[in-house]
Amino acid sequence: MRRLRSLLFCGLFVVALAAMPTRVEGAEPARVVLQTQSAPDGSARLTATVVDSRGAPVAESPVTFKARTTFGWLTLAETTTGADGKARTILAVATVVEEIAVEVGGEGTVRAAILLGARRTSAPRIRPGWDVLRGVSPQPGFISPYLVPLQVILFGMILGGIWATYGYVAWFLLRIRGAR
Amino acid sequence: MPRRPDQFSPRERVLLASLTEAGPGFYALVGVLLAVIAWGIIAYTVQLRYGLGVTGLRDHFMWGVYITNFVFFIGVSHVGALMSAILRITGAEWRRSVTRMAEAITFASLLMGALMPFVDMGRPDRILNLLLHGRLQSPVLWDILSISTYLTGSTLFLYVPMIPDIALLRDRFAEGPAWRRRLYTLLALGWKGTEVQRHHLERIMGIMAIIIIPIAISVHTVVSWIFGMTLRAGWNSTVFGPYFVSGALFSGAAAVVTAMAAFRWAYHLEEYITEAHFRRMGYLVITLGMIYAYFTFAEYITPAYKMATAERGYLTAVFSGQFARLFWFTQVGGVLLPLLLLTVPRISWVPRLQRVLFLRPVPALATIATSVAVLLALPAVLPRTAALGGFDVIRQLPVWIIGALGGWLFLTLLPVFRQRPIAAAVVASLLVNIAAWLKRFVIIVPTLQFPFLPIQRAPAGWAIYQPTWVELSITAAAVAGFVLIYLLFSKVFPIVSIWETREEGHRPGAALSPAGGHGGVADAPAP
Repeated sequence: MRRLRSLLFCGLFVVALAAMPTRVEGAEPARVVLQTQSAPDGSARLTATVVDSRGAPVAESPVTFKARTTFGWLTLAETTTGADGKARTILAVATVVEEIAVEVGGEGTVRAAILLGARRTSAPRIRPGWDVLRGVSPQPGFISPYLVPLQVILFGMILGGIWATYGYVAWFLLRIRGAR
Repeated sequence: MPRRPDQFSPRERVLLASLTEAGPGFYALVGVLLAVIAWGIIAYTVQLRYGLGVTGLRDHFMWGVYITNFVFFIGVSHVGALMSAILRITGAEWRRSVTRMAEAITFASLLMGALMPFVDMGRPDRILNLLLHGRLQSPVLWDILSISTYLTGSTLFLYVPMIPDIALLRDRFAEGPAWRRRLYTLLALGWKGTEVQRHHLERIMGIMAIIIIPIAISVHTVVSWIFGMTLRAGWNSTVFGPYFVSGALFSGAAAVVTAMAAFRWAYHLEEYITEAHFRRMGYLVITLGMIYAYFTFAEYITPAYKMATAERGYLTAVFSGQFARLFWFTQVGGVLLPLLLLTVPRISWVPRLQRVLFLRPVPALATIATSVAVLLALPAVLPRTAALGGFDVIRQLPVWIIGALGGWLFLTLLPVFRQRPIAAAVVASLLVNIAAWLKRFVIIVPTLQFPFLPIQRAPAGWAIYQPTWVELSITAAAVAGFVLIYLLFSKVFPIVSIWETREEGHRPGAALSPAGGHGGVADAPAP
């Protein structure tokens, strides 16, 4: 009975030992390679490959993709590497971002950055052509996505009239200055 | 021959007191205002660095306190131009002492109001996109165009009637600091008060007085359209334009009353801003308040009668739910009470109230203060859900008790307000302005809380809007900025028109004629 209890204890000890998280030597992220692949629609596919000091891919490593903005670094995505050591994300509008960085590990000690400025070709096409707009617009009147001539004339008359009056007033002010 | 400040005539000395006198109180006030503004700038840098996430704004609450400030300031700005223009055109002589104060309020509040949408932007560096990619079909672009047009117009409307006074300052401050001399010389446009110059000035003032009225009305109408042109519950309304204009005039007139009282007290302008001015402004506030109350009733009764599905949640939250206290305060404290304060003290039986023992100020105030203290202590003593025949003591009783105490306080103070009509007007106007800001908040936020598609898959905290310290700090800084601009304006230019009040005394019938003589006005120097 005592022997059985000892065996059970040893078995439990082995199971507990096996369940403890282990740090395998050489699985620490040592290097990260950031690659981008642009798409015709202006988006970019970002791939970060994390390898250890021996060049072997590191799986399950936390990876953070960041983009530089006017006011600092904006986190784009937080993910982990797969079995191939790769983590991926899609940058929807790559053309408005100039610099991308990837950080590996909680402290971001392993880091890579890439400049997108060189691959910028043209601004995204924000406004479709008139032909497209006419086709897609179900709304009449002022909600219409294209300019309504009557609206332009109306605005022109109101604003033009007011600013012309201001001009007239300014002209009179100049006459006050010149008057004797 | 230029005069030193000590050689001003007695009348000029009084009217230019705001320019020549600056005691420790003034510097303390400026210091406090600058400190609040500096704190607001720090808060804004935090917002710039970390984004709008540091505010209470979330996916469904794209507008909050900043747009509340925007609508409030643009509203307050209206009365200056409108009141001044209408009173000028109708030849109301009593307006001469107060129109410049009103016009300066327009200028200062427009500057602050126009700033708020930029603060509300998460990416202010993209502001140029509004012009580059703006759509003329969008009320947001209409806002930009109308506000910039109105700012230009109201600045001209403020400046043109000041020219004779600026010429006077140019002559009187010839021995003053160089910046003052240069500024006055530049802005005086070589004014000498000749016949030709006066003719041109009259013409310009006539044109501006007429054109500024439709511009002012259209600006706040356009501001209302950024809400009214949507299909959102609470915003989709055809009366939003006139409703906003009436609310703007009401709050703006109240702001003028506060400014009148402040300057009267600070610079001893009792001779120029009399009780009669407060009485007339009080009539104006009462009239505008009744118009505003009518529009409020019309605005809410129409959807409340139908309680359509889309609006049911919103209206319930406003009338009896989460926003009920704010909403009813804006109606009772912001409309009903100010109107009563401005009218009831004039009733002949009011002094008799003091004969009633429990309406005498000292015992009444002592009892009310004790009651409030007990009420504040009550929740800590009683269990939170103590029931009294099914009546929740903690939740329900205080509302009625506070209402009863408020009514008692009002009756007690009525004889006091009768003796001090200016104090009554100031209390009423402050209540109107506080409630006006809260009403803009109640217009903007509850609607966003009730979108057509329910808020889902969002963190629990994102379904309600609560302004953070960043937004409140920036709001405080905006108010401080408004006061500071107004204060500095009164330090550089006379806050009461000198040449117009001189005409009032000498030629009561004249409405738009600037005075003649060298520099526009020339009182005899003090002996």
